[in-house]
Amino acid sequence: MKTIKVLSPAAATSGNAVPLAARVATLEGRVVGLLNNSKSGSRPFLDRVEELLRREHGVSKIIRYDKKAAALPIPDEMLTAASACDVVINGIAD
Amino acid sequence: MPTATIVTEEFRGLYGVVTTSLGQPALPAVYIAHPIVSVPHPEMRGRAEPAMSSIVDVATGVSVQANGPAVAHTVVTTSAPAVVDGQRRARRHPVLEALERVTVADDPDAIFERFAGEGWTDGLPIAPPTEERVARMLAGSDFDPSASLGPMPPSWGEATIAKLAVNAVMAGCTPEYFPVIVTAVKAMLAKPFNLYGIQGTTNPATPVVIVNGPIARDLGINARGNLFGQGFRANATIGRAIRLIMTTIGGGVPQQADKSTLGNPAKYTCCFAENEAQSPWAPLHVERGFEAGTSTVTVFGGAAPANIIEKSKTADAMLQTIARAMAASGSNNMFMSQEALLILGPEHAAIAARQGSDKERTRRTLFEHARIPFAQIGQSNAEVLSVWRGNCIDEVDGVRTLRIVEKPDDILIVVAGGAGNHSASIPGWYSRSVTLPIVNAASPSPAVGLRRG
Repeated sequence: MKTIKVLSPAAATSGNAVPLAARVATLEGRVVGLLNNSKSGSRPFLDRVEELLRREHGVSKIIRYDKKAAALPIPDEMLTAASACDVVINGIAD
Repeated sequence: MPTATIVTEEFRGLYGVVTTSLGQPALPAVYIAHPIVSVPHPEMRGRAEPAMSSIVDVATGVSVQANGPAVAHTVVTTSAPAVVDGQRRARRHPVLEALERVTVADDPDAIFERFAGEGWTDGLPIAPPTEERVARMLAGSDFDPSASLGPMPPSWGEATIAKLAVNAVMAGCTPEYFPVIVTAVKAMLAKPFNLYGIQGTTNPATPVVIVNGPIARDLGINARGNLFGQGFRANATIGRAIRLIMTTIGGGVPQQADKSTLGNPAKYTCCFAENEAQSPWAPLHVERGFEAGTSTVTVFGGAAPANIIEKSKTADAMLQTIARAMAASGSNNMFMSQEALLILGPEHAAIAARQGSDKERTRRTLFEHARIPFAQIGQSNAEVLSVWRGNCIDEVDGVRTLRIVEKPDDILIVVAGGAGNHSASIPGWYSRSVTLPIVNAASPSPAVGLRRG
């Protein structure tokens, strides 16, 4: 059968790549940020994560961040403040 | 900074699209059961313990090292569409010659099947985007096909003019429509619109495209009867092109990155014009500082239109009913709207205007009555809303109530539709509307198909 060529509508996504941050070897003595996406259920889950990080993994400090709205990007000032952390734990969930 | 992302099983697809677009397709996450919102809090606490070893592994890199070296960082440059002189409107664009091609049997069924299989349709047949057709789409205006409006979330594909034109052909647009599409996409990529959120949310929110000014009449964009319905090529295909662009360029593939629980028929297409001829008031674009003779596109992130039947003969009674409908329990307007859109039927608008209610007074009346007592909201909802809607809570006659928006100006009023006692509420979302002037519009051709004014 005769063929035709048509143009692809899909767009290239290369060029957006970012490097992977170096991982920490251990959480012991580290500052860990916990970002709550503001969905119900996120807080109690992270409360328990905080307890376990303190009790069993020797983190030196936990900093909690609460987004006001799950569907909006993290505010710039919260992103800047997070630079005080060695590791951040966030989430995508509903 | 190293992060460990906790993802419910339902959101694997969205997470994958995001990490892939960032050059880290294999970045591990901590997967937990879905959902988290409706689960009792003690149970959510209990879910943390079994996830801990995975959280620590991802944070400390135990499960990351297998992924190999990181991809080098490259800067994405974006630019507004450049205006080029008419002489560069060649029949063959070098830019198009460089685009990726698909070879397929020259048969409508085979082409449709191939495009559907690639995830490049909305489920309906498409017009094949041959190079010749795409060049014709571009020839109707003066955009530089290689220019990009920027990367589109969540997959961050480059929204180049050429790719927009491919999608516009597929949707069945004429070249005269193309500047409307380019302007709408430019507006959708503005930060306050929050396109990333609209693409990924479980909400049915979608871009609602509102056209103002003389171009609406020139292109035959319907502003009258059956406003949201079928039968008007410009409305149908401009809105459809927007959705195809969100899918093929932005990666908003249903059940993957597009996590909408129910969707909404307006996600196929949602474009209409304001009925300026039958409005007693200044239209939307004039309220926003544009000349009446300037054509504009406004994009509003909203849910499906909810019809409001109202047969009162006094303006206040009518507006109070409409306000209560806008504040319906469970609608987006009660939970998260940054703005609320009211499509006011021309007969309703005439009643308000005849009784001395100008647009500002109408807006204030709606604002004052579009609220719901907390007693009707329920305890769990109230807890969430106290966090999400702190700026919309106040006391009225000693009763704690929730408003639909923060201030009167957050209510958009657009007069549109035909004869009858109907208006419609389009509840908003975590998104702010954006209005831009339509530039680079070529003079409309008298041959525009299906003109119905």
